[in-house]
Amino acid sequence: MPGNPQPKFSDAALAEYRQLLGRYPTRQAALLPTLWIAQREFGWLSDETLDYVAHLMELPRAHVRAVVSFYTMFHRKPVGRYLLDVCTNLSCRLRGADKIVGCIRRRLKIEIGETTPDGKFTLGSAECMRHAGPRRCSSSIRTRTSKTSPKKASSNSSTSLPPVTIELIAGAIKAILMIVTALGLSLFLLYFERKGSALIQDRIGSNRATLTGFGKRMGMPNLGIINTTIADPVKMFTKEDFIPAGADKFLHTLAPFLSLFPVMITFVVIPFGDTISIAGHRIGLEAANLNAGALYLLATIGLGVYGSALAGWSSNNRWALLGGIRATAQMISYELAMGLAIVSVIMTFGTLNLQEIVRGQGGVWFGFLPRWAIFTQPLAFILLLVAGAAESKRIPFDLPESESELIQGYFIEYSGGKQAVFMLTDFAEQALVAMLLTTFFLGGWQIPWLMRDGFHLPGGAFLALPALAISLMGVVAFLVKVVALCMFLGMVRWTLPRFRYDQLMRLGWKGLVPLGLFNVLVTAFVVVATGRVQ
Amino acid sequence: MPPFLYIFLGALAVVSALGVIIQRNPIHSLLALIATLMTVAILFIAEDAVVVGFLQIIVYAGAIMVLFLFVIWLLNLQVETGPTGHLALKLFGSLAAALLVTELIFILAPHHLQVKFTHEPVGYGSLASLAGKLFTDYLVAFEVTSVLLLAAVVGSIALARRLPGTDDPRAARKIAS
Repeated sequence: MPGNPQPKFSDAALAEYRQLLGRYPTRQAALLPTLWIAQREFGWLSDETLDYVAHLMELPRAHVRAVVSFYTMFHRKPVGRYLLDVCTNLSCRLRGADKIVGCIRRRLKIEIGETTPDGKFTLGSAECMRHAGPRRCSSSIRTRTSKTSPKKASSNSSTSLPPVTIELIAGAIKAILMIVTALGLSLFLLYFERKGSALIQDRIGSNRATLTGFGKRMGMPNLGIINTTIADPVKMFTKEDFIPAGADKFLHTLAPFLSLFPVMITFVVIPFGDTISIAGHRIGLEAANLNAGALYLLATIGLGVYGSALAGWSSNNRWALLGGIRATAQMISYELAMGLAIVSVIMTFGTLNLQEIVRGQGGVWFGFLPRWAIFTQPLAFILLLVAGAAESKRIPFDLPESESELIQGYFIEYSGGKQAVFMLTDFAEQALVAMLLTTFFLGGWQIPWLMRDGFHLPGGAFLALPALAISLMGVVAFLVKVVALCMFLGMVRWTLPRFRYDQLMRLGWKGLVPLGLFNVLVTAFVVVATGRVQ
Repeated sequence: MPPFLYIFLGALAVVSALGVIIQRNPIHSLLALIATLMTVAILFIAEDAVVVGFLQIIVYAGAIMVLFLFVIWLLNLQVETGPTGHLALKLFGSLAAALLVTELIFILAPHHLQVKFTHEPVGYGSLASLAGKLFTDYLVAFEVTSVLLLAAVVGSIALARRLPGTDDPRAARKIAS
């Protein structure tokens, strides 16, 4: 975070800082570890950060500066992700330190004290920790080099760096986890679609599917969730995949996947937990921690429109085409309201990074109220809720498929597996909307009153918990919120009747968009008035 | 950005751009255009111009191309079956193409290509730096553009509007003028 003019510790860092104070006899003694926290929080120590630390610790600014300038491991300039420190004192030079420095300079094209343009590596010089003798010195170079690995830098590939490899593996695991979660939620929604809707509408719902039809006759029990969730996909994927005459075969096959793909890749930026430490590595619980996460989200959601549009067009069926046109018009209309709702949240927290937005929702107001954005941005929450329901084309916004006049809309000519992919897209979209609402408004993985070290209940009671348990509870909390929102969206579906098309357009353009603009305006005024503008 | 990635994405962009003019089916051309925009956006993002890249996807690939799709549907454009156009058009087309190629050759001549790569400061291409420029150095141009766009929106609505009792948009235009 370069040049952050108004640095401020996150609540977790503040909690850590308070814990530190208790451990040291004087404030001066706690300065070094506090500066470490500051460097970890902001990446480097700008003048503003030092002033903030001085203010926080009630120490003279000059004292803080003197301490920082004495120690070389505090960075006074922005540094890259990997810091390559090479010892350049005499004994190390004799053992070949110059060659290592030269090699790094050639490979990364940076001088000592500089950072690569991609922000990955910074080359620094240091004095060896161990001056015992030439042998020890050289070994100390090696441990340093192997830790930050300029040696690997000379062997061609930056991807073979150990920290990067670990990051890649962790990233792959997280991505797979996220996809599995999305698919699992879709399966749950499929079951909920069958039995939950029946519960609300006072029906029995699907009750014929057993593992084998034979088993039912033999009196085998109804296995509930297993039946529907297995029977539906199996039925669909074993049916004939039919392409109507005169259809554009290529696009007809491409369309379902074109509608599923953007939804699936949107899941990667959703943070599902706090940073955890495993074997000394800090791993953020989101598949991709993008600084422009919110922009990425808007971009991928905007691409979802092509699947339904092309499905409708390529089917060579006028009802399908009408459904496709309706879907397209509806989605680009409600995207605006969605974007405006997200913009006001971005303005509130001053960042596009979703993990940062969730972090910003930690802590409490007035000693009891969680700092969730739903309390500061209630209007934006409603906007995103409505626009999200419209984006996922569910009742009361399911005009693209409205079976009474368009039979099934844009996927009327789809059968078998491709139809299943469209259904999966619908469920995944619903899960995505729930995740967006959770991330932006319901504090993501934050649990009320739970901080880095345990529960701080409103009455002043405190319950300490181990760090890993807190991280895992965060993941569970995220899932609970998402499932609850999914069920809420489901209940809305089975309660409300479908809109008319002119009502839909009026709601979008004359209702949500002006409200969203108004909300952005008010948010801007409040942000400026409270002086949080950067 | 690693060179192979640049070459791969660049080749993809060129191939899909060729697809835009080679495809006979207008919808396929449109898809090829979307693919071109996407690859160029990824090139932007890989070069740290993150905001420009994502804006390209949101605005061009996600919104303007949808309008293209609507226009193709509403005009009911059909698949081209054979060569079309007058001889004169073809002649002028070839001339224009030849001019463009000559221009490109001059621009891409080796002595022009001594581009100096500079290290961008940290935070280059971020939303903060872009917004900072837009709202300080280019504030007037930025605001004037938005007024221009607003005028265009109002104008097009005024032209397309049908007054009650008339079926013909031209009647409304007469009244408006």
